[in-house]
Amino acid sequence: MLVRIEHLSFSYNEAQRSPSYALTDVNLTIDDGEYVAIAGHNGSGKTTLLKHLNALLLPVEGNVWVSGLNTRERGRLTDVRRAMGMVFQDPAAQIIQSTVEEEVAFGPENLGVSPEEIALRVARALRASGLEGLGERPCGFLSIGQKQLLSIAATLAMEPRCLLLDEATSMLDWPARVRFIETIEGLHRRGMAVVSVTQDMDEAARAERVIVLSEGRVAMDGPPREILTRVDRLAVLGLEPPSTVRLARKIGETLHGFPSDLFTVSELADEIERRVRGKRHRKGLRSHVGAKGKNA
Amino acid sequence: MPVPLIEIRDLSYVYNRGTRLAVCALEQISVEVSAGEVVGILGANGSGKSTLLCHMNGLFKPQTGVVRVDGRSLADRSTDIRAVRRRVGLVFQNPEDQVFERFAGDDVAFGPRSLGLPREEVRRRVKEAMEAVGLPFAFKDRLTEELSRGQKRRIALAGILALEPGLLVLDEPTANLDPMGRRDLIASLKGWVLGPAPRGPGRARERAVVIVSHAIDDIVELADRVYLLAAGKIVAEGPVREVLARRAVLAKNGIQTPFCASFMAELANRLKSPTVDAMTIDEAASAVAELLKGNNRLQHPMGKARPSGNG
Repeated sequence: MLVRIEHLSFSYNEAQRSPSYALTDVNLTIDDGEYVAIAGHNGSGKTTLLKHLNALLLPVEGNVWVSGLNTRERGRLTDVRRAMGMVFQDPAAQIIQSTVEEEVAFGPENLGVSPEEIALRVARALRASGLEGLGERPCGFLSIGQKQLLSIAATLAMEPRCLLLDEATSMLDWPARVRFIETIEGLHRRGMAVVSVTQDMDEAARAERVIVLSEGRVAMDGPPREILTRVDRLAVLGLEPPSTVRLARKIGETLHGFPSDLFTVSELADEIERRVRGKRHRKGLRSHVGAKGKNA
Repeated sequence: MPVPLIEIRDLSYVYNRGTRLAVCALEQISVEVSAGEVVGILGANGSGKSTLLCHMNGLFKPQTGVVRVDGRSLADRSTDIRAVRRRVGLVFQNPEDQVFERFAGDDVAFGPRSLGLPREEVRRRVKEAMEAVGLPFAFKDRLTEELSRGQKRRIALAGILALEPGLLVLDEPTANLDPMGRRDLIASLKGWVLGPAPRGPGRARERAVVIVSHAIDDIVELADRVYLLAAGKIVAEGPVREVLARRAVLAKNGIQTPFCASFMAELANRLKSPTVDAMTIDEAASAVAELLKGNNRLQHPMGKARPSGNG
């Protein structure tokens, strides 16, 4: 098990007489290699929860264990943060070195990793994040999409067990977004756990599991197909289902008997194609019979 | 013909001009926005969108070309640049980061107060601006530190609206908003651009919006017309439906095709029938329903059937 959270509550103003809670009694576990999307309305506690996963925040009540380490144990903070690599929203805000290579090497250098090992890690991280060949490029010359990939590379050089993404694609244009998601999914296929906070329901639909937060509590937790098709419940929580689900439901409103459980583009297209071909076939038969009748 | 609210002619801009690091951000750009319009600006990261926006209220001075607001060139010495900045309200990315007052109402009132307006006028403007963004006037007494991101963003927007601009320029206004917050904001902007009902016959609409967004659905829902920027040049412009139907041009320039448009294309491809231009869920759903109700070919949602290849 990668993460265990028990009775986690957190307040940004606990010293006040009537503190307000950003998280209230959150309980969950995340397994090694899992790909989890965290969704929820603005202010629901998504980022606060994510920051507990690498001990940027510590619980006011309850406990968080990462790789078996309680994040309250001050002495083990480095181990926790090494295991859980964070990629923020704005790539420009997290790049501090002058060249791509130096940026990626910065983390392991601080851990006291040997120069030979650092060189290996940098090469590996650049390959995995699709930045091969750009090692000597000044960071300032990268596009915003490349900068976000560089943030992943710098995180990978720490050899984490899990990537934490905080709306990491929200500033990227479409091609950069597609490339970023493909990179993340590639890493996940090779065993990396991913916890991704997102407002994009089409993106959330690609995860293995969706956790929906509302008012600092876990409101829903399960496979995307199960969670993201509960249209009415999502609306109450300030969210919308993915585009495919919205289109399928809209078709169902005018066409009785149209299935309401279609989730992917190909499922939806298959269903429509099947129905149209059936209709064409029947119509073809009818006109065939009609032609015969005329002749006779 | 009425004078456009803003007119940009042959604008070029080079960062680090005259050095080895010179980068051309805009090349011979011409853009026009008239009252009553919502104009979308599309473009990949680094295509020059933000540089263009910064020219709209005189934050950047044109190196070549001209920018006119209400027909007056911003380069003219006689043009009051502060008046231009009241006329053109620029809302940057994540404007909620600029909310700094303790109470929401004070933040909205900051602009009008700096203009030295009388108390009653400030109060009226704050009230109207807050209502325009869907917040009740009573919301003015809320502590800004306790607001959600979506609420804070609306307060920041109201602060600009309280300056009563004619043109509202927005850079990624829905980024990081949850789906409901996004929908509310879009509705507010739609309502704002219509403005108070034109008084008397012949009175035209007075407001306009320019919006930059990576969220293609924002553009579909809001914009009448779009410009598509790539590497500092305008590569396509026209009514939103026309430009967004050019899927190859969008793909080449790093713009996502609206989900429904690409879904309808996929469907047409499978069924070997011509593509219907559907941009929204409603349009796509009614096109599919038509198809399944017995028409062998895809009908345009507005009723205009296209000639079918294999009818």
